[in-house]
Amino acid sequence: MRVVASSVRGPAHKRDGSPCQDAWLAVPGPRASLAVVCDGMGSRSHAREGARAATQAARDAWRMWSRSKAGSGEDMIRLLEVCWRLRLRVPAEQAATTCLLYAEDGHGRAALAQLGDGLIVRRASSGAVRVHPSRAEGFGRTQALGTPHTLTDWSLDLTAPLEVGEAIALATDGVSEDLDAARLGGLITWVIDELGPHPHAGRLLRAELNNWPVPHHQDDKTLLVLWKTSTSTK
Amino acid sequence: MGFASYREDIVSRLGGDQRPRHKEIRPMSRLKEFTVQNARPLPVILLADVSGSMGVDGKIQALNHAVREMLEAFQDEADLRAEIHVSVITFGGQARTHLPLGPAQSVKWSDLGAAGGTPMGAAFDLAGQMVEDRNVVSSRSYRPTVVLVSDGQPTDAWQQPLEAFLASERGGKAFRMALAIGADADHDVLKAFLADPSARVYRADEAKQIRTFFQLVTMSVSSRSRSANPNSAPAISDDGWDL
Repeated sequence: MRVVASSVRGPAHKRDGSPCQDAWLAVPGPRASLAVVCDGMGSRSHAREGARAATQAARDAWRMWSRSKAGSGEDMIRLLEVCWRLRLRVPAEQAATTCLLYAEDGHGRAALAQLGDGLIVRRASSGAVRVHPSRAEGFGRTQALGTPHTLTDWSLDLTAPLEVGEAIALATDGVSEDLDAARLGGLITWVIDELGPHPHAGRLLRAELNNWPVPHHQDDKTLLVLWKTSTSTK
Repeated sequence: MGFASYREDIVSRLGGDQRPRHKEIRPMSRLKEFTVQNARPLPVILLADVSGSMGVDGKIQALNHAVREMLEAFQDEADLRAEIHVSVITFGGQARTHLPLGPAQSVKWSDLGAAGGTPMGAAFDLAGQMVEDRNVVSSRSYRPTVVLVSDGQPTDAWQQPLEAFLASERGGKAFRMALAIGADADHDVLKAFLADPSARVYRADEAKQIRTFFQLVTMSVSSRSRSANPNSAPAISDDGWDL
């Protein structure tokens, strides 16, 4: 597996001196892999801590899930929610965050899970793309860790692990809201083919995100692309 | 440690800005190819009563003047987070789209005339269709503001269309404002449109107050479009307005 990812502060947070409230984490292991992006809700005072804790909670939950052939995707989500609360040192409602993840368990299963805004898209080796259906309500009304929700508010899908040539992209809404839906596959291919070979691909992606070309954009931005190369399994 | 922790401390990063330590030869930026090139829209949809009764006491003239001023104010706005889009749906004799939803910057306004009954229900239908149509109000759009202005009683079946609008996935999430013009306006219908016990139906007993109301709408929309999160309720107090 290979991964290229970066988070950048949006112009609004740069102006007011706030830190980036997005976070990402990836574990592109030889058998099992994890990719997660989180977007702390800007209206909450500890959004940054919430987003960071959520990436780590996703890793906690994925580790346990991937050790069990019997554990369901729902089990992983339940565990993630508990781990997130245990990792927080601030009130959960003040650290609300979205959470999007792709997890392979090493036993032939993969899970896509999304709570709140953002985008998960899978590109097949043929180039076909499939957008993971979100349950975000639109118009900024989004579910999140730290807001009232239930397990059914997660959009969860068990699927097959990535094959060689396949890729997953995760993006927070600062990126996803401005993407051309017809060019998602092209974006993933660009990251893999043009940024991926570079030794500092993450830095290049960060520079690109900092020069976001859409007028009046304000949000923090996170983009993560995870793909399986022909040498990934060796 | 199991396989799960393999490499994670090498490749994992939590979000944050770090400057590159040295200059690099960068591939050509191609992000423009994959992104839309316009700002996120903030739709404003006006449902305007243009029934025959609006033709007396200078009401329709005041409405035309007020809407034109609002459009000019939107066109003069700079440094906005959102691109304000405006549509006008009229109901007088029949409901129709007088101004299709589009950027306020490029609106060519033509004055409204007043004639016929008050088919407000049909206007709710049109507004619902507009808000729910992803080709018209895209998924990138911020929450719309829907403004209802009327001086009379609906002359068609309005309850079911209004319920459908409010129950729709997107219509119910719109910010809504309502103005009752004159003593004959049906406050109950306007209150039902707001569907919020804490929201207020504004009153214009004189034609000049129509202008005042649209100044309030303009401030409300402009405030949202400048705010950190245009999906949040506008931070405008409605105290002190002569309405």
